[in-house]
Amino acid sequence: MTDHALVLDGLGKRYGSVVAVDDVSLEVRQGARHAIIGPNGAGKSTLFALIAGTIRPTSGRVHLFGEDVTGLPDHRRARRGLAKTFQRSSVFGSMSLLQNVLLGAERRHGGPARVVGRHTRKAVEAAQAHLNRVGLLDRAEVRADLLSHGERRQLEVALALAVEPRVLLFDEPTAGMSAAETDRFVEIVEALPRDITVLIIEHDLDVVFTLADRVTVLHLGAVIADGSPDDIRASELVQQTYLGTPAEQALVHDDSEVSG
Amino acid sequence: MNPLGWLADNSGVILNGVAMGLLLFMMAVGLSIVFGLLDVLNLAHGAFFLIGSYVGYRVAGETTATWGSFLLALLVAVVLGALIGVGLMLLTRPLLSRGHLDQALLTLGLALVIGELLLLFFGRNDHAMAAPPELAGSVEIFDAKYPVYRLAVIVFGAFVAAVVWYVFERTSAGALVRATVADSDMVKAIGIDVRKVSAVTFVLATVLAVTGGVLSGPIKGVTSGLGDETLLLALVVIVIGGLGSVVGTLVASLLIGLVQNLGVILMPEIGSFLLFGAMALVITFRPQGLFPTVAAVER
Amino acid sequence: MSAALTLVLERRTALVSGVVLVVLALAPLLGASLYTIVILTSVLAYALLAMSINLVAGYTGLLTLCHAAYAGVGAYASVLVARHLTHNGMIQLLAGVVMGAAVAALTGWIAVRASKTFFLMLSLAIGELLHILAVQWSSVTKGDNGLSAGAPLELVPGSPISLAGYVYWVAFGVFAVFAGLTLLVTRSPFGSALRGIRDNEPRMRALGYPTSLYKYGVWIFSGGVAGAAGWIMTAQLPRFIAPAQMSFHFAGLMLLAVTLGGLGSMWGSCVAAALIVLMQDVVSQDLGGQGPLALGLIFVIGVYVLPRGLAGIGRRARRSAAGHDGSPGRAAGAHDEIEEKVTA
Repeated sequence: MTDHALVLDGLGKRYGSVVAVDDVSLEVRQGARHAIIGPNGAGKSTLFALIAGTIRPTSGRVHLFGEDVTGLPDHRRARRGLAKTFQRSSVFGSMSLLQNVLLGAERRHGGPARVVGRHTRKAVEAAQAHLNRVGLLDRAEVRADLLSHGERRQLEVALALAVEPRVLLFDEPTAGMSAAETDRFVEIVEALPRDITVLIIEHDLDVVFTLADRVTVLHLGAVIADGSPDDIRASELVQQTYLGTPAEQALVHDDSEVSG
Repeated sequence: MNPLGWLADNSGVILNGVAMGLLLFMMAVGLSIVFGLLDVLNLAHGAFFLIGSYVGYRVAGETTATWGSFLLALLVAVVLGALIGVGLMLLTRPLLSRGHLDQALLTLGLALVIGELLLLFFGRNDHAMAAPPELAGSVEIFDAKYPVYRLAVIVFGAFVAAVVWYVFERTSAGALVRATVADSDMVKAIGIDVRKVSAVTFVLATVLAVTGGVLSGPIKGVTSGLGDETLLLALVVIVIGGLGSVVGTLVASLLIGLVQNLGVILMPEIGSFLLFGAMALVITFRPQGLFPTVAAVER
Repeated sequence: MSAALTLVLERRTALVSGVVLVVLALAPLLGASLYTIVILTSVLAYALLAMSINLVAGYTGLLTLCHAAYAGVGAYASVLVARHLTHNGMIQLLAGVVMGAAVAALTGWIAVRASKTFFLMLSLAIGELLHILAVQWSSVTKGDNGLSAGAPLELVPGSPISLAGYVYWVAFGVFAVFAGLTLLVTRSPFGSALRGIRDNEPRMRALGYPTSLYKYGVWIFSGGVAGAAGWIMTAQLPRFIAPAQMSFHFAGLMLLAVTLGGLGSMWGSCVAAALIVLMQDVVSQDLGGQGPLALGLIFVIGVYVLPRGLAGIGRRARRSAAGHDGSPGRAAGAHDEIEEKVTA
């Protein structure tokens, strides 16, 4: 149990008679690069919300590094090393990019609740480093709500990295990114230390098959397949429910060049 | 202590509570549904009630009134209410893109301006309003004299409540409003102009508030503080009753009317605090109110 | 380049503020009349109250209609201490600040758990509750008649300060201290966190911030600052406080003023506060006594014309730069809705 960063045990969420997540059980090893894929409406974001603690499950339990965190609110789980990016870019619009990332960096390096004084040098330097990682350092003083969509996605990544988490949840990180930005994102994830566990919801299958060492497929809220990328690519069930006909497959592969 | 005896002894107070509760309902139901519909807290609603009571005092008369002048007052109230409702809708339209809090601030500003205008025109003194002569007397209830007017208000108020309930719960127009409260995007998707639904509801809400103000004149008098006082009680009502729920508003209004009136007798010091304490508790532990609607649950 | 521009503009604001403060401080020496001194004391009180409101409304996103009541609590506490305990002005001030903070603590813990529009309602109810308390607890507060301290304040026992100019200087000192503290808080990491909470509370929680605690903390602090403003309100003879200063009307006026000044702009709040005093007291005669009405109209028009308040006027010049005053701009209100539509 303890070498698993994350264990989901029969996790479920229903809204009245609508089942968003259906009895999902998953074990994610520390250091894994685990992708979650599935058609729209499959319940992937709801699953992430359940893991992060923004919504309460109607059944099942969540274990983080061996600890049952099902009863903990989202900010408590974040303090235990969980970080998440948001499907729709969620940044602090009125503040500069640097100030945005500082909010995360202070958690790690400083005292975010200090009522007097300025940000510590360590926090500022760390924040600048994270911005540099995602290629936004030259725009550090710009207000976040003036960013383009792709830049905002990159800021999301910087924010998530700034708290130096142990488990990272990326919710469709490359949606709306250009090809260059997507490549950069892949580089960043590949460069992450191996002791960080990464879970990623993605529609861009090139990214998935480059980064992931394990893939889980969700459909209508339930796990329909779980295994190595090759297994998934070969699975006929998955191909039918998700990848569709060869014509649709071709579309999927063109996607990453069209976006951005 | 014989409960029936107690009821008889305090029948006057209880009837007062019911009368006030029904007037409060007229005020609060509009506030509740508009809030559920548009997510705008109309802080000027109390000022509308106040306008109604000033209209009543001016048109119906301060010391004597005839049926004619009284009914005229009601008519003026309805027309004025409709005009104000439309006016307010037009005023808030440009702010729709700026968020609900900007709209709330606008209604706040309007409440202040209206209050000042009323002071300007009518002065700072308190006024009274007369009931029509046939309703001006009293009857004997349980060995005590009770004003006929209040009984009339109870009857009329109950009628209004029944009509509002019926329209809201049993007609297709009401169903449309309920649907828009629950999920305005879906309603738009079916092709219905949500703005029309909102506009009509808004106007009706305002008309109800102004009319309630006129009716309250002979009971509560016409004072400049009436607007704030009633707004506050209405807020307590809609929180406890549940946003966007007619039944909830009715139950809560009656409850609060009774608590206010009984509280003055039984627990003079803490009456008001009971109400706000209850409001605070409800917001903390059951924010959807006693009769939650779907929209309220999602908030 | 934009960083340099920010710096220049901020320096300019600081410079202007500095000049204004110096002029204000020297007012009694510059030949200001008694009337002017009393008015200026009022301005200081309202400005401090406005800053406390801005701290929670502009910086944290908690629109409040009860801080006027917290100031009233502070004022009553000061006056009651003056009547029954001691003439020492600093102890009266302490009472005002502590009571303001205590009542804020008592009433704030429920408030910070409510969502944005509920919050406005709840703050209205809290404010009115305190207002009603002031009216009904007449054994202590003498109800609608109001309460007077009865004697001038003292700093040194036995030497009452009866000259308005000297009282003004004491009040100015108190203002400077509390305004200064408030500004320090806004420029600290805590202040950044508050703005983060305003812009995007769910994101802050995802970063591990216990946002309710932060909101509660700033709420209590601002209650204390409001209490200090209440003390300043009753500093000048006749040292009088009445429940009317805790009414919904006044609370609404203050919130509108802070909004017009620019949520998140402290100097905007001070200018707006000065405007209130100007219209209500100074110019009112010239307007046929209709100062309050004119004020209300100004605010209503202001909500339309200046979406970011007075502070927004200068903002067009520095659109691409982010300043430390952190006005919310478009971001505010955009996160009223449920954070994520879980459709995937």
